Amino acid sequence: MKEKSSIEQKIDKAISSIDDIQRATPVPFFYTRLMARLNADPQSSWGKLAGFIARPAIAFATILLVIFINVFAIYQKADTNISSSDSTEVAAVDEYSQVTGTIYDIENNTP
Amino acid sequence: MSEWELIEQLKLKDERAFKTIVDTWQDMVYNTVLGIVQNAEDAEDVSQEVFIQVFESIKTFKGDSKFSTWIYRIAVTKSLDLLRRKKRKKRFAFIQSLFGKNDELINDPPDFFHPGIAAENKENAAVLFKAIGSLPENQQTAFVLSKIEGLSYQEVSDVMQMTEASVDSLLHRAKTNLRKKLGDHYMESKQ
Repeated sequence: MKEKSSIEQKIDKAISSIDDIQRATPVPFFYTRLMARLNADPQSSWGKLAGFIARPAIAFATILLVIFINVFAIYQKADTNISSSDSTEVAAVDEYSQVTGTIYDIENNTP
Repeated sequence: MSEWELIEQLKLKDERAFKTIVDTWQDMVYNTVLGIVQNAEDAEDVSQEVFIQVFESIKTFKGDSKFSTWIYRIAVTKSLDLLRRKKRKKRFAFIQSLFGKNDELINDPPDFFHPGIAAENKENAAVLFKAIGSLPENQQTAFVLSKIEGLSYQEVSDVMQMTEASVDSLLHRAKTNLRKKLGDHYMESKQ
């Protein structure tokens, strides 16, 4: 019981330790250092773009988008693969008037 | 020069206007940032970033809120960004250490002593700041703006873009959490 109240006292002391806090101020010549930084490192538009792309959210979203496009493309190709190969074959046959002949056809040609 | 004239001049990239703005708001920005990041060097860096952002984005300031509120928002956002980056780095270093790729010790940051605290309260305040640093982001922000920067509930609600009732609730939860964390700390140090 005594221990609990001593801890409570410590907690109250810690919380009230900031009651009369004074505002912290930066080291003198803050403006000079700020201007030096502002003038030394003018970020180009390429730098800004690189910074934007390097953001984790953007990078992660881009990777997801690329994966999604790849998966989509693979599925699309798988769907159209059979039909497109058929149509290519038909087109080739039409183009070259290719007639599928067998050995029996040759035999039948003789009068 | 009035605040509006300063803003209009800054939109024209006038350096004197920028200097006046920095001189006027640097203490407020630095104190807020320091309260959140709890490191003097980081606070200086982030404060500079805040004013660079003010300089570059002044055209986007439409005057819907007070200029100081806008600057506070930038300061809070940049400070929280830094904390998130540090946490990510720490997590990454921890994962690397699991695979034996990083032998550096992942130490907790040293105790933070706020320069605006009276000498006799420094030790207690250091314990409190450690507990503040472990609060969820929005509770930490509300607590720092209210207790360290001394803003009213109305001003905190403007900066955090929420109602006063929400700020009140956040601060209540922050105090409850702080009491619990401080209690745990003192119990541990007794054992």
